[in-house]
Amino acid sequence: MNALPLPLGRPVTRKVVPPVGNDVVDLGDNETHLDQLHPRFLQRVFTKLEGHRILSSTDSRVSLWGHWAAKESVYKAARKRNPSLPFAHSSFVVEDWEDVAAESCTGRIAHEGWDYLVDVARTTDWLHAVALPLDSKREEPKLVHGVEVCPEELDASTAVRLFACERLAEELDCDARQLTITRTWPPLLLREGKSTGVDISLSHHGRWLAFAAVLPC
Amino acid sequence: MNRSEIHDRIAELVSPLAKDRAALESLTETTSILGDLKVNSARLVDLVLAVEDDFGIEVDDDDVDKVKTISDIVELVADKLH
Repeated sequence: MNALPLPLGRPVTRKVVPPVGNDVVDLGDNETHLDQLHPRFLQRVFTKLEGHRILSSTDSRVSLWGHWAAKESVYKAARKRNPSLPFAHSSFVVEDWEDVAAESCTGRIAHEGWDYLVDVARTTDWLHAVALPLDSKREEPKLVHGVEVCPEELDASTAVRLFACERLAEELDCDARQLTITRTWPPLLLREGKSTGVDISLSHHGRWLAFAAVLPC
Repeated sequence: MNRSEIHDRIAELVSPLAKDRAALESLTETTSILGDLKVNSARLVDLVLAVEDDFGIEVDDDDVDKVKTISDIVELVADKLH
């Protein structure tokens, strides 16, 4: 787990928590192999420039899922500002992208007048994108995120909530049993049934669970 | 093509993408594609593309966003065909 300020964060208004989004991809899942995708998948989801960037990458499979996770994570953050936002993948355009064949990279997505910074970290097993808005009026938010293997005995939806509660209890200096995460959209982190003001995003795919959260300043 | 035939064809197209085989076995109009069948969002794109190819229609992103259940996608295809 990491507890880092957003690298490109800027001053923020006190007690205003920016919306966060995250997305995890299980790179060990057979579904992530390019030959498993529909022949028009690339064309449908990505712009021509993104498609060119993906196909010319040193690892096209990882690059494709890095772009995908970047779009998903920004969509999750943006939908908190506009709950009726449709997910038109190609309208979330990834720019300023570094090659995700490295262990981490960043990209930027502009959408509906907002700029989002996406950090993508990866191992050989998973890829995890975390998106936050770049907003010059905001302070550096305290961002907490993590990736964990899903226990076989739990369904992923339950497991990701337990995982996030355990990690966030450390940050909030409380017992994890005091924390719950609602099954609403967006998910809400409650402490003994009351709002914490923490903005949270949950994700799971294949063997992996992930979350990202922004704590109030 | 009537609604029943569309339903059967959709069931065939979704079959290789569904991770919850039990939900697939008991497929109904109200079965949730993401929630019950555990089709993830990337595979939902694949399903839409397969539907476009199979029925010779075009489905735009706004329509995709409204697809939650088998009934939704059957309705969408029926509207496009008629």
